[in-house]
Amino acid sequence: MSSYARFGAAMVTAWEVLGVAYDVRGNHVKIDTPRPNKFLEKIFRATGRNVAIAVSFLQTDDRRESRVAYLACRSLDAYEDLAASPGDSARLLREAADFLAGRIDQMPDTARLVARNPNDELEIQLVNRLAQVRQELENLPAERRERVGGLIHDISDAMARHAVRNQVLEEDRWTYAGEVLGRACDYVFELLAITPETPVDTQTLGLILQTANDLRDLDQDSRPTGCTAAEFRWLLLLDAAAYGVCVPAILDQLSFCRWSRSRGAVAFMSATSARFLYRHIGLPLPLIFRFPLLFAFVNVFSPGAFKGLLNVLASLAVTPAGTLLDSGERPPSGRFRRQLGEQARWENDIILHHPRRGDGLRLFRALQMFQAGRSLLRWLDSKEHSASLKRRLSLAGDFLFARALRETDPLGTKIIAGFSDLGAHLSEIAEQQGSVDDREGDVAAYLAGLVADANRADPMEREQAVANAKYHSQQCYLRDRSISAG
Amino acid sequence: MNQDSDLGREEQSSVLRDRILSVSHDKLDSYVRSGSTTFESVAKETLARPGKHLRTLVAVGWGLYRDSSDLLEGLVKAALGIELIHEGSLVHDDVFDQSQYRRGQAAIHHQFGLRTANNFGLYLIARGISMLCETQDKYSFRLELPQINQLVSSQLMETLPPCTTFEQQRHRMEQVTDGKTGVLFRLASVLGAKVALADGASSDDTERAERFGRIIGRAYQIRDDIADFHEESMEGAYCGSDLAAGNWNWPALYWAEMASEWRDAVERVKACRDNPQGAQRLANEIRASGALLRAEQALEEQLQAAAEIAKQIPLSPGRELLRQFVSRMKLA
Repeated sequence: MSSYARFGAAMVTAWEVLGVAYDVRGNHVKIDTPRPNKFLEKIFRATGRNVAIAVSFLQTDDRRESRVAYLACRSLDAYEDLAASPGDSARLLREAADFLAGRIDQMPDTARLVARNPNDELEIQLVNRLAQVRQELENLPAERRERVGGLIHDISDAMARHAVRNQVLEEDRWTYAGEVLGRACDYVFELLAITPETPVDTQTLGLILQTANDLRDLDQDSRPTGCTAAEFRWLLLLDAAAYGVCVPAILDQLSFCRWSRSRGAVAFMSATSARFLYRHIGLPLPLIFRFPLLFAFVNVFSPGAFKGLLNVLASLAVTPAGTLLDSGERPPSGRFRRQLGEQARWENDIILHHPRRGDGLRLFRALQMFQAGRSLLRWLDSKEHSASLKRRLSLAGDFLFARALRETDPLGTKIIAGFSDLGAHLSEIAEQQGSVDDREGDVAAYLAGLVADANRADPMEREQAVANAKYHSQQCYLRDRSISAG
Repeated sequence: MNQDSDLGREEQSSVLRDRILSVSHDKLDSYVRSGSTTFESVAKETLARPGKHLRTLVAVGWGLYRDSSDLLEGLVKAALGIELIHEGSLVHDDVFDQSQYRRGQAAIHHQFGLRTANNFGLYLIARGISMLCETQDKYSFRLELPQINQLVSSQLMETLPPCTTFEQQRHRMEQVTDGKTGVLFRLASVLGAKVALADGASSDDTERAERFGRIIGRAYQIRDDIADFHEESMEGAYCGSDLAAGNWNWPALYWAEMASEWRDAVERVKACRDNPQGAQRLANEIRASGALLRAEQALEEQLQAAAEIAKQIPLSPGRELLRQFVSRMKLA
């Protein structure tokens, strides 16, 4: 399709999006229509709201597929949350997956599901008409049906496994988030065809979305033993802070075309999720989060607007300092663009080419935390911020450094020692030059060495890779600097 | 006869203790000096005020299962990583707590500025972690290094508003104490036990060492909190300075336990924040209430529990050292 045709199609979409956005504002408690398609659309808008708006940005076929994928996952969520016991929940989840895949014809028994609020009642309405979801799924073209089928299989399996465990434990939350919401992000990126060549850390995105869910349901869901609601909220916010610093770099990897409905959808979902976190923490909303729909429309046409979103998300890096430490003073914001500069992209690119995907993603996360922690120290010399804020920034820097080390722990002592030595070396450099800039490209050089070791490169090749990475990083630094000076 | 041998053992332990402290100080000194020219002046300043090297003593206590100079040297070297992390965390603690003094002299951030204090603290912590990694590789064992994360998260947890019940608050204070104070004692104890095992010791004391470290961490914190209720206990600190900084401590918690209403107690402590006079008044009230005695009792209970654990180790120079360590922690 030509650019102009895409532009025209985007304009038509705008009307449809506005229609959905207007419709989801209503409070749907009971959806009483015998027509399957109408029921599915209504229940989608009632249970999904923001997802329904985001999906309305997409083309008709993608819209239809994502609607059925969402409804299937939402039904699984109902079996997981509303069943009388963890055992029941696991059984119902397996039966639901079998039913949706067409392996059995008997719908799971929903009689023992217990609704605690109007949203639960909507979910029960949905599972009572699961046959219509299955029918809609069967009507999809084979490739799409297979994609949604894979998603349902993986998510129901993960939910069933976790139902019988205590997912409140930190480790379980992490795995659960990756296997459920992270898997859903994988699906979305595949559907929208925006997945880059390098691996995408959807596990982290899943954890952030899971954290937002947990914060929303703080009073309803179970908490770790002996943990008060305030402490659990605080633990969740610590996770949001540590993993949140990775999000801008992850979204920055996605590849959109110039005029892109997908970008509008992703921007809308990111903006509404971030808006929830801002509101929950009590931070004043940046302008773009006050009008997320308008902002999402702008994103359809403007890659620059998406960059703006990433910049705002990057400023959330100061969340631990600004909010977790209970102060009225607002943290500095909008100045954490280093994460999105060329030097940072180059470092990310090096580590995401690690031959072992899992290790590469772990190092990627550690790198984001490490660099975000260092970025906070820029403000220690500033005259415009109070001594109290500076102290909190300093503690937040320690927190992110500690989390980076924790992230590298499963990779062995050699990697932890390497990261620590790098930290010590950069502290010396920061002291000598009076800034935390990595002018010499030491971080890139270290990462290139790690990747070369993992690839079992010979000493000559390793040396060459390190030297190249260092030189390129220095060039990127100079370009970043000239852009920020300009 | 028994009394004579006790005295003899006591003397031997004191000699051993002095030797460990001297070796540990020398190793820390030469390591920091040789490591970085950038931080030379800050390092000199830090080393001019030597600490008590308690974590090294604990590590050697758990690891010195036979009388051997080589083993002792190895243990002190292994514990150096923990001492570096401890020193670095003190520099950062002082920044966060706005402390003006450390060991009788101006705190690093007061003398050299916030940026240098941050860089130097991070440098020491990072070097310490790297050194612990070397030790683990050398002796082929794994420490739970992610525990170090608790040093920061406990510091953060301390800033949360007080809990709604006494029981919850006590649980939180245990967590904060185990994280802030206990984590390095635990690592030191386990490190010593694992070095001994790798060196050929017959029994695996890792689990006991972990419990000992936790208990000593709690005892140390209670002792430190009691000191806050004695004027001129530390340079720059005054009676009730914890309360004035907005922090709960153990005697204050015992006082709240005795008070009729938890919520009133919370309000009283809250009113002390940034109010030194109010904090001193409340501190005097806490002293008069008998809560300090309760804290002293709690300290005694912890030390007894630690001594019981130390008794279960086979007879060795290390065991004597631990016994002496525990008895020296008692209040005069």
